[in-house]
Amino acid sequence: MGKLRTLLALLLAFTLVAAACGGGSDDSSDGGDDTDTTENEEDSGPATTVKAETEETDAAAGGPVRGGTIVYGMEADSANPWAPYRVSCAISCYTVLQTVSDPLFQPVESGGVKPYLAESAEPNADYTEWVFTIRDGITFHDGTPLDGEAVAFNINTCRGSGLTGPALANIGDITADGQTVTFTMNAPWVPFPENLSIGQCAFMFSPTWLASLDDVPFRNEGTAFYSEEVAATPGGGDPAAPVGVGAFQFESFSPGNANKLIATRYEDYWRGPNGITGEELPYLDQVELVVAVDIASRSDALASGEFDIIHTANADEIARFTDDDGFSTITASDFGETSHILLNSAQGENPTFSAINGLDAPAPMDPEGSNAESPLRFTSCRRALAFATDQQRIADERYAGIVEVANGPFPPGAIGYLEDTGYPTYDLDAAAEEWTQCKADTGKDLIQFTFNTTNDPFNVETNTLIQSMWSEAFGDEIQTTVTPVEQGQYIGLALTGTFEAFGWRNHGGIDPDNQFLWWFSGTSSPIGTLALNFGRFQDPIIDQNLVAQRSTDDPAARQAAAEAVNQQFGAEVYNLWTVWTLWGVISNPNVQGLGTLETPEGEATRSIVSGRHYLTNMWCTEGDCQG
Amino acid sequence: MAAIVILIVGWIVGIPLSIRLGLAFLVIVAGAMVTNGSYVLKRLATLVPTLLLVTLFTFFLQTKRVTPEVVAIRVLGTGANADAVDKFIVENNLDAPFLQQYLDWLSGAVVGDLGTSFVNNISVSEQIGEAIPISLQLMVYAQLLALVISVPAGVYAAYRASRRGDAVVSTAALGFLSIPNFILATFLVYILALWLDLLPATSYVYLHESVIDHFKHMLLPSVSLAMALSATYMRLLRGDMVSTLQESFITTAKAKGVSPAKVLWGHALRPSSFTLLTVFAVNSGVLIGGALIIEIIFIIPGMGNKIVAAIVGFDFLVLQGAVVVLAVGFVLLNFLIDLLYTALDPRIRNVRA
Repeated sequence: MGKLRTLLALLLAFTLVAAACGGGSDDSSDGGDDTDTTENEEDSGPATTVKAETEETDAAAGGPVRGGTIVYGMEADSANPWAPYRVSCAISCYTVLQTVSDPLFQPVESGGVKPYLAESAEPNADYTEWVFTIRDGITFHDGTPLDGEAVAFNINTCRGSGLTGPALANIGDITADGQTVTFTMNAPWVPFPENLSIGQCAFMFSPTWLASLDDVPFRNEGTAFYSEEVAATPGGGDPAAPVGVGAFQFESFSPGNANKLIATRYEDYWRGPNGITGEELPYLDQVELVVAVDIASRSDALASGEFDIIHTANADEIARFTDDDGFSTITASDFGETSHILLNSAQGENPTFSAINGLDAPAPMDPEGSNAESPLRFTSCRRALAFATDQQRIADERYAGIVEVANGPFPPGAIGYLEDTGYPTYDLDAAAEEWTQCKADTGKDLIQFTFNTTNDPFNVETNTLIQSMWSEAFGDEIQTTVTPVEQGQYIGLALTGTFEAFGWRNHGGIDPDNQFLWWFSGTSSPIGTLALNFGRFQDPIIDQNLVAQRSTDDPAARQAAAEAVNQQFGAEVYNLWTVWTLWGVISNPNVQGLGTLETPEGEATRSIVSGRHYLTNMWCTEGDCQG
Repeated sequence: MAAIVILIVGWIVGIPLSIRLGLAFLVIVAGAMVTNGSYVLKRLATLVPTLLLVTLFTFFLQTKRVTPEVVAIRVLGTGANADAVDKFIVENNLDAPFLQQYLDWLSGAVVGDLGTSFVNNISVSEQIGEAIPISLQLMVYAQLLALVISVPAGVYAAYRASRRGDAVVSTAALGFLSIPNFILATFLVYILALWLDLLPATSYVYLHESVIDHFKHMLLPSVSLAMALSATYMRLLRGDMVSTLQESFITTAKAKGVSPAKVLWGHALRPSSFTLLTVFAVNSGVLIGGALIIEIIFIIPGMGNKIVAAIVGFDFLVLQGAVVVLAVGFVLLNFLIDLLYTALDPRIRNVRA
């Protein structure tokens, strides 16, 4: 009764205040912004893994029980669902892939990866050949057996795709025989299994289903992967109705915000009572993965019981639920993406790019001279900006103080992480010193550049804060403009190098090899053409160590190579690091088993990966997920 | 009446909504043709250029917004190589001249083929067919709720014009007019869902899944949309009715001893409702904008969410299809309201004829 009385008073007050403040306009003129404030930055990295800083849920209500439907609020829809070779995959997409399928390998808590759908993985002496043996007796949801041929088919669809092919370009050939599949590499590839543990191509789907899709690369006549046999079979398969090998079998899917994918327990799951391990997985009857883009709505849905679990990288929301005893919150930052300011340092010529692409002469990186006046070409200017950027203030003011400031692309726990990378930390005296050098290098007394971001208000405000720090440090000797750019254009501008400084988030991964594509000089193409090395830097030390970490099986040597990369980023400041992204997975107390998946052999996996995780071993108290 | 029968019977026998609406529209037009053929033909003739302009403008805005490469990368992902980008552009005809792209789309649209989304490869018609009934439900509930609130309030305020009752109702109306619907939505969610736990905060339940849950989930979104509408309607109705109550036929009715309630509801309401009717029709289009925000806040899979997703994801064909459907609906609704005028007031029919 008290609440109702208060409610009536509030309503009356609210109405009167609104009447006093407002005009008589129609409600159609709403200009409200309901978009997520932190999650609209581009998730442009390859597969990423994080080590969970597990704050164990205190709701260990008995052992696992079967039954229940879990409703999961996800942050985004996915383009081109769901075949791995075509889907544009970020966290929500991975949540789907991990629900309906499983990967060949799993990252484990003890380090590295362990076979999962694979039973073993054996390289030759110089790592130019890998032989995987696939567990026998596993079937896809359509009854097709998982064997070496099926794995080869899956990986070849990815190799033949313009989206996923570049990451697998080091594979020269694949052959299959029974339960084994043999990969022949163009060059040594030690962390090859790591690349088939969390990326979209790690997840196996029925070759019968893949072959039925109209755009499967095997149907592309005139390409290396064209297959007359596949092309002769009928197409018309539905790429949005995936046939995987996972714990849950696809049932229905509608695209778009507020829509959902529904999957039900696969009774012949390989880790279930009818499977090869004889375990009891999965426990849940059904999962509903609902897209809810707006973080406030997603949180409200969790709070009011419409959703049972959500994921988010919004620090304010994570902080809100962390303080709420009515919910379980697991946060993860290790192996996640690093927020940073991408700097365009394109200049000179790129012989590595030319050699890879068979060009006669070294390619000029800035053929039109669009970056010729940028001060960000100079290390001194980049270092001055880094010294003038108060990362802790960014963490405190923009991320509720719950994230860690970043000193490089490798967060704690990742191979290559260093407590001190040599990256410039906030120091106005050092900034002034580098600034003097910057002005000398550029020959200018006024340093100007554009510092853009997406039109998301959160990102614009963050850029403005950083801009104010630089102004405090360098006064009227620096002039930067923050111009919000529509997100679609933003990505295009980064890919073509049409920018000077961009707010960005990328570089999650369980292994430094995951970053090869983003930092290698060979992927740094001239401005105006598409490049995955967005900043277009060319650094022989980074190149050398990227190749080294890929080519050696000595953990110490790999660690050293990754550290060298990290230190080189610290010295040259190709990017201005800000914070390591923190992901939160928040659930009601009835939801159990989050982040506790083990391999069949009992090894704990790294179950929380950039906010995504498996639902395979989750259950609900007394089979009731709604609590 | 025949149109209503078609809608209800069609629903019972499972005829798709789009076909039911089309049939109902044809019946109404046929009826109007019988009574006022030349007027109906003139109005129909204006529909075609209106729809062409709307679709052309939308298509222009979309295709000029970004380059085909950006669209391709946005859809394929940032890891896509140049070959994949080129293939995507060619396959989706994005490299064709603007006018050719438009005509290609138009030639399909006139025979009911709105194309296939190149973001999710699902038929645009199918996607819109799933979303539009949900948005229509929301808009109908909001409009009905607004009328249920506004008509009695407006009649009462007119009856008590310039007295305390009028002042209270008018002040409340001004208050609700002043509150943007997304603010009201957030407020209602916080109070009624999160604090008092009386209603669900978000999500949508289909009518066939559970009637009770459906209405429980639609109540807050509908109220959020309806309150400002009801305030508008109330003020319009009050104003018109105050004028009507000054008319001589009302004085005559009073002199004959007709009860105040019968004077208000039986004699004054109908001639006072023309402005309300017009604004009601116009607001049906305006509501689309409001529903767009409300659908996002309440995680409702209607046209609003479909449009936002299409804009963000550069899903041209879905956006184009959604705009066409909404534009057609808006134009036709106003057309039907015009026809309704002629039925309500013979003077209008005679003047126009």
